[in-house]
Order: sequence, then C-alpha cells, then structure tokens
Amino acid sequence: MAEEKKYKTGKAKKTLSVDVLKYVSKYYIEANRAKKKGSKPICYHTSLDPIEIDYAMGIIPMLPENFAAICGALQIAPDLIEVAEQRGCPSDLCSYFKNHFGYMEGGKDLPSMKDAFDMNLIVLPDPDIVCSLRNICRLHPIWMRQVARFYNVPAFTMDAPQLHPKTSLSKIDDHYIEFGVSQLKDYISFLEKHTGRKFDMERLSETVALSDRLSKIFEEIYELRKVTPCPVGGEDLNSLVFFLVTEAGSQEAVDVAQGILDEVKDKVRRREGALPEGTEEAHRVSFVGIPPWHDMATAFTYMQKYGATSVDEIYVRAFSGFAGRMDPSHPLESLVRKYFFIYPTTTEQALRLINIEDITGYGIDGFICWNLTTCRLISTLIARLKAMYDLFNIPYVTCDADQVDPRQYNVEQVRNRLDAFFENLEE
Amino acid sequence: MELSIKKPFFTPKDLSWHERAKWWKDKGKRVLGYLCSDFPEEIVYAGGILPIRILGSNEAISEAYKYSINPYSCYVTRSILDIALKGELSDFDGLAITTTCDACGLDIYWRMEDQVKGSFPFLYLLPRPSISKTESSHKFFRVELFRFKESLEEFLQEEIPKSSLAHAIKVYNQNRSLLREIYDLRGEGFISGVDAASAVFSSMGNPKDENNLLLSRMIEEAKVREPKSSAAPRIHLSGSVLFNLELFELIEDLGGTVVSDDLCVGSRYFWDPVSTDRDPLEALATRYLDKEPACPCMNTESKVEDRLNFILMMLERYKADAVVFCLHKYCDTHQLDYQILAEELEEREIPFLVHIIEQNIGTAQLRTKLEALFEIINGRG
Repeated sequence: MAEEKKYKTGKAKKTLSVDVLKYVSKYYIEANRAKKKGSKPICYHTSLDPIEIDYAMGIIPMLPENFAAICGALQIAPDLIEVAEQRGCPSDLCSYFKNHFGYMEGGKDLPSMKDAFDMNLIVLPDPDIVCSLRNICRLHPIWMRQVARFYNVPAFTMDAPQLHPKTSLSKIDDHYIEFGVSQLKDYISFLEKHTGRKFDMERLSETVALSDRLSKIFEEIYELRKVTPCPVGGEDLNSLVFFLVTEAGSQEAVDVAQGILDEVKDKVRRREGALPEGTEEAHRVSFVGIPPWHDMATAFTYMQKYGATSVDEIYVRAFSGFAGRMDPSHPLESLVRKYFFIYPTTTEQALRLINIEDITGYGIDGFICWNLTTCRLISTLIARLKAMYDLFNIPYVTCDADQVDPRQYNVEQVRNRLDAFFENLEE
Repeated sequence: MELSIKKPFFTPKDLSWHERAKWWKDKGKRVLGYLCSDFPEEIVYAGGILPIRILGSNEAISEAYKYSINPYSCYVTRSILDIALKGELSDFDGLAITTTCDACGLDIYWRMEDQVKGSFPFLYLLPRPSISKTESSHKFFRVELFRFKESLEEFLQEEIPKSSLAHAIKVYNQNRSLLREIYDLRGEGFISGVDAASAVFSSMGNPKDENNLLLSRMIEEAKVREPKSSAAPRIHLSGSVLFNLELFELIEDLGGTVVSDDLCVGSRYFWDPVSTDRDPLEALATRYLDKEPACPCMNTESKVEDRLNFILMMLERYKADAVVFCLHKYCDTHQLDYQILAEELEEREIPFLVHIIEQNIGTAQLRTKLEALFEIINGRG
C-alpha cells in the first residue's frame, strides 16, 4: 500500500469535459513504446522550443518541465527535489529543474515514484538527443547540457537574443531573422546527423500550419472568456498548456483544442459559466504566474466562494496567440517569429503581455500574483507588474507558492491573503 | 606623461560614484556606466567617453525596495538598482547594459527604463547572443556593435572614426597585457593578491591610458622588490562580481594568498586580447563573444569544458592548491555550472569549497570554511 502523502493539497474542480491526463498518459505511453522499439527517437526539450521540426521529422519531443508539472500535481516532486538537494542543488534553484535532476540522480527508483505513477504509466523515457532554445531563461540550456552529460547523448543549443528595445515586432530587423533561421537550419542538420532521418520542408509546412491552427483556436477560446459569465476557468486552461508546449505541430492537439473550442462556444450560447450552478459571477480575476500544480484547489476553486473566477492567465497566453499568424509557406521564418520573440526577449512583447488596456478587455477586477521564488523570470515579471498595479491603483494580491514544491507552502497564509483580497474587492 | 587624475581609484571604496564621474565631467567630458565585463568599452573610449563599471555595493538597499523590485534576483542587481534610484549615478551621461544575464537584460534594463530613465540622456541595451564561436553569432553581434556605435555617434553628434577604434583597442590591449604581467608577478610573489586585484578594479574605472601608467609603475616597483616566498595555501577564486577586496584580504589574513581567478572582476575581464589584424568592430565582436574564460551565461557547446580547462590552466600556471567558489545567491547559471565544475575537480582530487554570498561575503562562516580548506592543503604538504 502506498505511503500516506506528506503534503495534502487539493485538486481543482474542472469546468471542461476534456480529460487532459488521459492524453498526457497516452503521450507518455506511446513515447515509451517508441523508445523500447527504437521506432522513433526521443528528443528532450525545454519549453517553447520549435518542436514543429521534431514532428515534421518523426521525432518525439519530451519536456521534463511538463513531467515536473505532473510530478507536482501528483505531489511526488518533493521526494525528487530532496534527492536533487542531497546531490548539491541549491534550494533556490528552479524546482522544475530540481525535480528532473532528482529524477535522473536516483529519484526514478524511489518507491513513492513507482506508487504514484500507477504501474509506471507516466515514465519519462531516456533521451536520444536533447535541445534547448534559450528564449525564456538562462537556466534552460544549461539544464539540457546537464541531461546530455548524464545520458551521454548529443545536445544542441539555440539562442534568441533579446530584441533591441527600439525594434518593433511588426518590423523585426533582418539580422535577427537570419540568425534565427540559420540556427534552425543547424538544428535540422543536427537532427539529421544524429537520428538518420531526412528533413522534408513540405512536411514542416504542414506541422507549422497545424501549430498555427492550434494557436488560433486558443486565441478564440480566450476571446470567448471575455464574455460574462466566463465559460471556462483557469484551472482547465492551465492544464491545457500541455498541448501548446508538447504537441504544437500535431494533428491530435488541433483535434482536442477544436473539441474544447466547440464546448466553450456551446457554453457561451447557453450562458453557462465556470462557476458552480447557482453561483453568480461576482468577480473576475487575472491569474499571474505559474500555478502551484500541487494545490490547484486553492489557486482556482477556493475563490469560488466569493463568486470569483479566473478569466485570464498570462502563463497560458504566453504559450499561445502572441506570435501572430504563422505562414506555412515560410515555415522557418514563422518558427523564428513564434519562438524567438517572446516576452522575455522583447520589451514590446512584454508590454503587450501586461498591457492594462488589453487585459481590461476581460473585465478584470484584480490580479492574483503567484510569486515563484525559484524562478528569476516569474519573480521579475511579478515585481514589475506590481509596480505597475501600484501606479494605476489596481487591486492585487501576492501569494508565495512554488510550482511543484509544497515544502515551504503555507496554505493557511495563502487562503488568508485571498480572503483579505476578495473581502476588499467586495467592499 | 603626467597623470591628470588627482585621485585615481583602486578599489570601489576609494571614491563614490559621484566623485568618479565628477572629476572627469569637470573637464567637460562625458561618463558612461556599464555593468558587465562583456561590454565592449573600446567603442565608448574611442568616442572620448570615460566608461566606468558599475559593480553594485554591499551597502544595505533602501530606495529600491520602495519600487517593488524583485527580492529574488541577485544582490548585484538589487544593489545597482538601488544605487541608480538613490540618484548616485546622476552625473553619468549614460548607461549601457549588455544582455548577458536575465538580471541585466530583464530586470535592470526594465527598471532603468521605467524608473530611472530620465536621469540618463543615453540609455542603451546591447543585445548579445549567448552562442559564440559560430559565424552566424559573430555576424549578428557585428551588426549590433555597429548599431551601438551609430547610436553613440548620434548622442555625441560626431563620428567615431575607425582610427579611434583601432587606437582604443591598442590601449585596451596594453591594459590587458599589463594585467597579465601583474598576475604573473603575483604568481611569483612580487605582488600580493590584494594588490593584483586592485589593479583590475582600477582598470574598470580610471581612464585606460592613465591607468596603464599606474600599472606600469606598479610593475616597475614590484620587480625591484624581493619576492615573497611562502608555503601559504595558494588559492584560485572562481565566481562573478565581488563588490570589494574583502575576500582577498580575508584569505591573506588567514595565511593564504589568491594567485589566480576566473572572476568577472578578474581574469574574465581582461584575459583575452582583441585581434588587431582585422576590422575593429569585427575584432571586437569576435573577442567579446569568444573570450575566455566565458561567462556561465553563455551557451556555446563547449562552454563548461572550456571553463574547466581555463581553471585547470590557471591552477597549473600559478601553481594554485585549491579553488574557492564564491557564488552569488540567485545566480542560477553560476550555480548550475558549479555542479559540473565541482564534479570534475573532485575527480582530479583538487580541493575546493563553495560559498554563497549575498550582500556580504559572510566572513564568519567563510573563515571557518577556509580554515578547514587550508588544513587540507597544509596536510597534503
């Protein structure tokens, strides 16, 4: 019998019928099967890598970050993180990284892992190659280099230099595009060399078209969330990130997203909100940061007692809908535009992401900032946003909660803060 | 040549930021602050502007916390913001920030733009790739250096001729050569670890040509001294920014001596020269991307191996006994690289210790760690 969990936290109530975990499990099972048979190579990535190229070449992208989020949701991350810390990882380092590092460094065989993964259903297959595009943080490529070193597999790194602040996203200088395209071509050569697979530009055009369709669907879902009552809550949107990050370029992701869009449209038609039946939508909030996967109930369901719901999440929107439309007839340039100019690399994108006028389209009453002390990017973004909220006198509350590590998490303190925040809103 | 500087600074304690800028400004000249050892100062110097490295300080932060700054970024970042928000850089004509790390590119630039912008007539973010040693990265950085030079020319309202750039490279290379000579003299006991470190600090803030004179004099004086011969533990320091010489002094107080380093305020600042046999901007792009020792923020394929090889080379060149890693809290890249470097040193049975620093170096705890390390070294005989 499994040992009782050390950290008891809750799951959020879902507002959509899609069973994301079912798709996640299927993805991992197929990846493990391919690994066993040797039918498809496994390439580890950090998030927001151009995985459309992998799909075009029949390579399976696996994201240890996604795996870490699952470990967080299953509440087994602390055991893995403890292994990492015993191996010398500082406590203030990214907990996604530590989760994976601990997994590699012996955590994989912990009894809690085997119990939690229900007969090894979700197991991260070993990589054949690794890749990272440095567009989010500096830790990402070093993480993948450490993985390459551990498994003794080839690694490839790309770099998205920060955009010059005077550059407009609508008129990006040629040398940025050229640098990006040149690196993507090098990545393709790397894949050809280490997997023996041939690259086909037409196939890439197809996966880019699918990726574009996926982003478009998510944009539409977000547009529909501007309606009152908001048809779908943040708990569901956050778990859908799996499709955007791991399956951009696949038909399956488009099919699932289309089904979700249809369901959301239907809910809008029926004026069915995300809140439980009989609860009136009193407050609309925006969720800032990476959610605490170990306690989605406090993050999203707890606010329902105040008639509040999350109608916008920067984290999810950062993965979708900001790239502008991709052009399948220029797949490499499209991938550069999608992946090289995201909010950490562009001032303009950052401003657009946090643009008050844009956000107010959702009719937001306030912001819930989930501060992540182990993430330089999120903690920087939140600090900057708070300065802006102060300037415009916009209500917000800050909750300290790690994305996967509940060891320092104080649920009572978080709920007290949420209580105070909503009570103030009601006043 | 007589020195025009009346009060040259050797350590950041010698002069305030105001004083450093003011004496130069009093001559009707301009001053530009920069943050990172990967910033191509030569372009600024060629424009007749004095580049001064803003390192931050270990003074307590007061002003910056009023602006909701990120408490989980390194102390260097927070301190630099605090210095700027207190108005201590108000005599500076400009500030240039290289996108070396997330703290520089995101936090500091954003904040300067949001909250301090008005105080800098010239605020510049210099995009720099984290990949080096490839034609595409060199090409990209050449364009950015050209754009930076153009912006500076626009600010100065005059052209920076190629000949001025070539001259700047020559003066800076001379500085690098002198610092290497000082490091070599330190290795042989003619110069103390503290004095050699002071020579690097002074190079980051005094005008380079005059600083070169100071360093030449330092070398002349050292050469006629009796070299200090001792069996003291010889330490290689690894890390990024140190605000002052406290760490060097502590090691000497405990009977050791710093003989080499790969610090941002040490060899990482000056070790590699700029090539003089090609177009100046092209040469600068290559040097500032490919330079050794590389910053841990770089993602070049062989970066960690190159960093390790550089440390091993320095250990051999200066006969160092052990490595002391002094890493800033919340500096992810240094801390991640450290994991691999530590593994490699352990395999080679090279003694080392790691110490995490923030506002201060944490003297009491570090003292104990160093004493233990010195015992190991002395025990090896």
